Amino acid sequence: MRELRYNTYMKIINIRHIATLSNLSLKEDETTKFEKQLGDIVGYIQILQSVNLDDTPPTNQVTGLENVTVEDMQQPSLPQSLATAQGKHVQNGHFLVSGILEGE
Amino acid sequence: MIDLTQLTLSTARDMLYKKEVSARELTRAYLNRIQTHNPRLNAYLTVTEEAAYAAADAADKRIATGETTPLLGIPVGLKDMYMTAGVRTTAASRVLADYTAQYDATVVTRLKDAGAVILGKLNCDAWAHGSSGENSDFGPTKNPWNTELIPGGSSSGSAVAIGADLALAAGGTDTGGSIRLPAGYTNTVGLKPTYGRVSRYGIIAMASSLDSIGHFTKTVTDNALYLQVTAGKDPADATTSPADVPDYLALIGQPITGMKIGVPKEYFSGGLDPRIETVVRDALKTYERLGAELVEISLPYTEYAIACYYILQPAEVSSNLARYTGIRYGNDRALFGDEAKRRIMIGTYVLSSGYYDAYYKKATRLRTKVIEDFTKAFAQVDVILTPTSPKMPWKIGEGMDDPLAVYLSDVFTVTANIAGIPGLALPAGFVDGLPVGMQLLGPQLSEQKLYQVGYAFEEATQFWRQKPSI
Repeated sequence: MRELRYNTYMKIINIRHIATLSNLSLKEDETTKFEKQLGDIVGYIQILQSVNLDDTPPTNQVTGLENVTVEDMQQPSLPQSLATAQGKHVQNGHFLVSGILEGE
Repeated sequence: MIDLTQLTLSTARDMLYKKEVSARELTRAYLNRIQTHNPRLNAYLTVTEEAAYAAADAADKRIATGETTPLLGIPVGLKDMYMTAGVRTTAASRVLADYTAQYDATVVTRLKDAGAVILGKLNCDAWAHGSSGENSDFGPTKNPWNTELIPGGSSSGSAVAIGADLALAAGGTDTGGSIRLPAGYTNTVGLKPTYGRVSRYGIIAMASSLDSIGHFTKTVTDNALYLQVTAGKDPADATTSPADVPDYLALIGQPITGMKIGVPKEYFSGGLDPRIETVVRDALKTYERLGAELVEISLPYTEYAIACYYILQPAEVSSNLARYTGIRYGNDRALFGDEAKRRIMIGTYVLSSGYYDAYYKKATRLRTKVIEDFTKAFAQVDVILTPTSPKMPWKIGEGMDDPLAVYLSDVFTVTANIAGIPGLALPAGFVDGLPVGMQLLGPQLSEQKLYQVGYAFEEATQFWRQKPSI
């Protein structure tokens, strides 16, 4: 098997931008650490760029099943009290969330 | 007085039916052993003693009426990725540290209906991300063969529960090797079933096109008994196979004369520890003595499989973990551990605008090639035999600073997940007193045949009888 380690430190990842897209807030030391580690990993997966797969169709799932349907019937669902039982901020059976449009 | 925790599932079952032991006695023996050894091994995160005794008593009543379902009265543990109604379910992450599941996973419902006794919830790498067990937010699970070493992961607690006789069977999940790797390091039998053979409903999702819901047992026959309960179509999981569930015991004990076993040359070169190679080559010789024919095969896209896997899997992880916002349940995203953060960010990166075609799309095309490799191979051979890991277990802590090195230890296992085929890991032998694992791979829905071929080796070698001294 080909040498698996590429050790390519590629500073091609804008780690702050990716963290924002990921809905993660990183501390300063984490930013440096993850930039290096993700650089290594992204460097490694470049190996795929050496294979020509232009004529190969993609596979998104392996079951071979298509258009799986179920009969549209009423079924019991979680009662509201149980569905909201784990929320940290619940009022009158609803989840409380921060405003979305404020400050836009 | 025999030690009830040393029984196999099959033997315990016989004794239960003959009323030589009660489910309550069996359950008590396991709970006592957990109490003694779990503080050191850290396999169980939650023990549900009261519910276990209630289930045991209910099983004893059913046994008294002559009922003989496969897991009736059998004590099992479940990876903490399984939703268990009313029981804390954490995915071994601080994000879900105080989360109580609101419903049962389909597999859990099936186990309960079959009369299994659930002892508790088992440790793992947080969100099933890892190959070692080191990524648990609640401390690593220790390998009973040497508590300084990793037991393999991500289903670390499930493997150790069986390897150290803390349950008769244990549920796990396998997205890239998370059952087969730790089975190999703990001298246990682990099945990654065909994708879609066992329902994923209510199992905390890691990478939805790869997640396979399997289990660990002490022996091959025990493993088949458990699959008999968990396999089957589930209306709540549209990816489950409509194919009939066969009798998984039917071929066990049948001779394997003339069976063709494929030996992929790509798995026996480069980074494979020579000591592991020796053990697995010996296993191949055993198979020859049993009448099987060895056929060298090639799976040329193997060298790209890890790269393919570490694109597709984090992409799906980033999507599945987006739901953890701390609003409906669980804690803030700031509590994700390093490995979850890494995977979320890699997945976000490969799916982001400008990179999607180069990474994600390319990996889905490579997936087609890996599938074609296996299709060609299975036109020539019945099953394929490979090691479960290229290296021996490392010291706990050593894997923490170099995530890429740890990713590469999945090299032999990820291909089965990419192709959706089943893999049965079983004890292959020993190196310096530590167990070594091998896996049998077959075409989709070939679990019956894997059990037949696995059993022949187990019967001839009896490696499973060797136990760690804990």
